[in-house]
Amino acid sequence: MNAANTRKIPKKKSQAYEIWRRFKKNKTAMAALIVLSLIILSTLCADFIWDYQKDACSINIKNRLQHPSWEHPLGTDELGRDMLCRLVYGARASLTVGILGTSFALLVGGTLGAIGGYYGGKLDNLIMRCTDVLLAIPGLLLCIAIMSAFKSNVFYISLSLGISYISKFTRIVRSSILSVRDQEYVEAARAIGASDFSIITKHVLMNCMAPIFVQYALAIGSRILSVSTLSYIGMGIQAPTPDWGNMLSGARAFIRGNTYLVMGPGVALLLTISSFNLIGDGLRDAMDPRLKK
Amino acid sequence: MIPVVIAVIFLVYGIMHMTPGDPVAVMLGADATPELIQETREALGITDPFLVQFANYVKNLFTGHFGTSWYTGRDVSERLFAAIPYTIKLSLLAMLVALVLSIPMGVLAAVKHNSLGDYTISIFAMIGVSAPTFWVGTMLMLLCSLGWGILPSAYDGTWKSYVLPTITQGFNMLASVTRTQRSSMLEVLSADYIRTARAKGVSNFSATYKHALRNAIIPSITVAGLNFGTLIGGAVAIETVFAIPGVGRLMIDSIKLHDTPTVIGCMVFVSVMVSVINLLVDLLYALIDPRIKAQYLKGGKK
Repeated sequence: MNAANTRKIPKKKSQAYEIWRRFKKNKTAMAALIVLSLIILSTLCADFIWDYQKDACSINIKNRLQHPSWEHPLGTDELGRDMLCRLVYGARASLTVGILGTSFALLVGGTLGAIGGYYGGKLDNLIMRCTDVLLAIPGLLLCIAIMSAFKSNVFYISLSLGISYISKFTRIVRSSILSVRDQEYVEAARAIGASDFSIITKHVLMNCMAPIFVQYALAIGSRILSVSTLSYIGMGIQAPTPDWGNMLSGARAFIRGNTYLVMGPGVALLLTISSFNLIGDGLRDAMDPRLKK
Repeated sequence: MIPVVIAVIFLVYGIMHMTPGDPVAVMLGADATPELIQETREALGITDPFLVQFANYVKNLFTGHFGTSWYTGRDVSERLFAAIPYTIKLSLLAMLVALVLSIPMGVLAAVKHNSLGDYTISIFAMIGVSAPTFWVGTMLMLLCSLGWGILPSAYDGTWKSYVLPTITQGFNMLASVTRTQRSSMLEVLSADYIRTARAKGVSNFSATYKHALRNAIIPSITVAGLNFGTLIGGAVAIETVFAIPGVGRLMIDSIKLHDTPTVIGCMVFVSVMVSVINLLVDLLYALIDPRIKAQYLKGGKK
């Protein structure tokens, strides 16, 4: 009896730690996390290396279209600005609107999904019909329509990117809430008199965070893709503010003989978006209880 | 489906209604008299309340009229219907290429799990999902048109000018369907009923392609259907890259010209098409999966 009591019980590791432990084993996801951290770090340090106004925005015709060299590792663009500098500042613009837009979509879509899924009935029906409408319009076209009605600044770009993603979050949050709503522990919480708000936020949502996290990571990648496309067709971030999309569109007339102009922004986009996708995939695998080892 | 379509039109109409800029000032030029401006405004119907305008618009839609373009002064449908075939042709070709290639690739990657082929296909698919279509288009153009000079870089009316846009547009869908097909196939292949089938002595080929594939193909159809909207949305960028006179190009040009009725026309057309595709995908499920068909029938009896 006494012996059984004194035997050490291994401390239960938290779920977040378990997920992180499994995520760490996934080599590609870790590589993606490192690449992404480097990109974010570079945008944070950019101000120590360059002067935003002077190096990234002002025109310097004497230096135009210089091929990569020691002085300009990625060459200079059609207006003589250093490509590397603009690439780094472009990351700042893309990531900002990508994360803002996704967070907006998560906030609005998640709330709607939670309300619809938890209460059900007519309210749920109404919310789901609204998401049907939003889903019927291709996201990019919805962004374009919104951007043509409003000024293109960071706020409206994030808003349009967010609105076009709301319905996805609504659906995911709703379906995960539906899967736990009728379980006993929720009933127990209700029985001890917990309010609906605290049941949703503390008990229900906490148990369906996994798919939401995964979707969040994937959504940022997809939003960055959208904003680059928007900027490419001239409806997103406007020149002279550097963005990977408008850099590519600016380079269009000069690509013959200046391939480096499209390589930089394109590879940057590819790396960033695939990093988010790989992290999302990695999270999904790490959180999948069926793959538990 | 009809209410959804009308709500979509309402949403699009509402957003575009907020577009700044006075069309009449653009149409008539700087030296128009105030009376003339007022008259033209009333003729265009933009002095009516929003809901009246919307009701008139929907009414006209049923007779095939998309309103008067502020740019050409003629009916929007004229230019819209001229642009539609390009976009449809391109999207269908891209979808066809994507589906024909992605299902076998996904199956192959799953059957030869963790082999070199699986890794190659997975990396290829990851690039396809992540690369922006307009960049892929530009790179292909650099390679095939400016480099080797075998394919035209801009639309010139021949079949050759469809090759690069189709590949570009299909690439993204190809990649996402391949990924879905691979993971669903992996899941199904480890299911108990496949083991049972093998234990019964069903040949490996039959177990993989008859038993597993039929179940594993359903998520791919969902993804393909959902992606069709993305595909058409992506057409905007691709039509810009390759100078194809399709709906996306018309829409961008019209936005730049502040020709709101044409923009609305393009949006309405695309949204209706996406709704129809979603409906077709739902019907396709029933055709492929008897379980879903049974569900439908049960629902009908109630």
